[in-house]
Amino acid sequence: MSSTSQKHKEFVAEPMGEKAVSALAGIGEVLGKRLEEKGFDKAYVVLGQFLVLKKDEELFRDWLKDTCGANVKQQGDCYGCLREWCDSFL
Amino acid sequence: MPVFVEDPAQFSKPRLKSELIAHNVTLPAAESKKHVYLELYLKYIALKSAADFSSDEEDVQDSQDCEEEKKKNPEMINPCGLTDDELKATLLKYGFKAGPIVATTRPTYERKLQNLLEPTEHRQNGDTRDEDQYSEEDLEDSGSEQGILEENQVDDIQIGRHFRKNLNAEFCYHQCFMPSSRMRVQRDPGCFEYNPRRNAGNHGNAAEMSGTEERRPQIPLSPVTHEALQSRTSSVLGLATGSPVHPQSSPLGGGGDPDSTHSSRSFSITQMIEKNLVSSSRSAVKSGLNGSSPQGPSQRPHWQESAMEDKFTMTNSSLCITAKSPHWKRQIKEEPITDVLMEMFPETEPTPTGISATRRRPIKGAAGRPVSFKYPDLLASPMAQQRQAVEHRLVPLWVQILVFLGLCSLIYVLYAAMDNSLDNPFVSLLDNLSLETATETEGMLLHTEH
Repeated sequence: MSSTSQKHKEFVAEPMGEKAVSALAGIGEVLGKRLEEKGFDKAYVVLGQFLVLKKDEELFRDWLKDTCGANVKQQGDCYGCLREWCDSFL
Repeated sequence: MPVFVEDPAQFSKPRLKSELIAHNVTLPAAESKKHVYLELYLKYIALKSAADFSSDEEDVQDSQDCEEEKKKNPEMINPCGLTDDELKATLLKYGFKAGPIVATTRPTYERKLQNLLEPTEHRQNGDTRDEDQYSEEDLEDSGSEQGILEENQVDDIQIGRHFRKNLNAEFCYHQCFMPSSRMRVQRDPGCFEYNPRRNAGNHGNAAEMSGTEERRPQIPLSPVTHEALQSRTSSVLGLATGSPVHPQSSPLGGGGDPDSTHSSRSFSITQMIEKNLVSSSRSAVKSGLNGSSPQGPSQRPHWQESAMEDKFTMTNSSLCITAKSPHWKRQIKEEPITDVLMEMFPETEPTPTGISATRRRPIKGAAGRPVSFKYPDLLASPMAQQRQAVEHRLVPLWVQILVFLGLCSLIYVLYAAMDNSLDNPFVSLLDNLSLETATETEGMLLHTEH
């Protein structure tokens, strides 16, 4: 993931607050909807999962794929976005 | 590698039932016939203990599907039969430090465990469940040929496997006191007290097979033996290894417990293993109440649990260090002790099984090894670090002394120079002063004379 998307930059720029899960980079409408169906309605819930998996990339990717069927790029975007957010705000 | 598997077709219906319960398999209707149970048993349990391929596929399919199927998943596949703690312990055994296992993370960790299991599955057939192996190795104190063979294999094994081995060794370390006492007490009476009786023939194999009630009064069980036995039955009760068990536990665990004494008293290793299997499967019936899993391993997970819980209190690094040492120590210790055994039991014939029985000895030696041997790395590592530190410092120190000497000489030279230079002005000053005063006095004197 050499270049970061606009969404990534926006998400990483500020505390996530009550942002919806689709505000995460790599999570579009479809994935966002699937995640909401599973109870991951806010970005911070996904962050919680990310943290409870100890920020492990492999596990988080696996979880994201399993939960909403994200492809490799989406997994990478979402992981990078959350990790970077944690680096700056945690 | 010989695996002693009983034919499930010979199982009684209640036993099959309890096995199924122990494996979290949903039972068929109550009035079903035995073959229904047998089918289920073969489908779930035998497959599980053989290899996980089919259930793996199921898992992959399930994981790609929706949630309802995933909820069914836990009953279907092997890692799902474990509790959260067991799953975590198993992952740790494979060298993976799992985070908190909660509802949302559990499927992920289960998949992770299966990924870790896969490479090892291909290498050793029919031994996918590491608990199986551990239980066997534990019951026989990992001294059987199998254990030794595997140890010899360790070198050419992948890392995950190696980790597992280390942790396995860790177990021996963890139980270093209990099993050793158990084996010593159980074995030695078996050897020295029991042999004559068997030779006399008044208590033949029939008596051995028949039951313990006959036997118990005859054998004075020392407290240690009781403890040891309880340590076995503690799995039934779900207690920790060394923890004292209430007296009523031994009658409670009467199913598995007496058999273990039998097995320890008889010499033939095959008989022993069979007994262990029987006892373990019986205790599986009991532990089925606890919701714990499979046949042989039914004792194991609890041991594991206790071991793992203890382990969590340690640091992980020290864990690895302690784990490695018993492993190679054990290999080293093997040869001398077999000789000792041969000396101790010259009358026993070195049959193939008998030899495997003698091989069991080394593990006892390993388990009973004094504590100081357990931490060679730990003890050595600080020393080595110090030595390394000294070595790192040695060359600079040498230079430092030279520099120090040079500085000393320099300071001395400076001091000497300063000494001289200090002397001179004062002397000259004093000289001048004395000269001036002399002239002044002379002048005064001249004035007064005039």
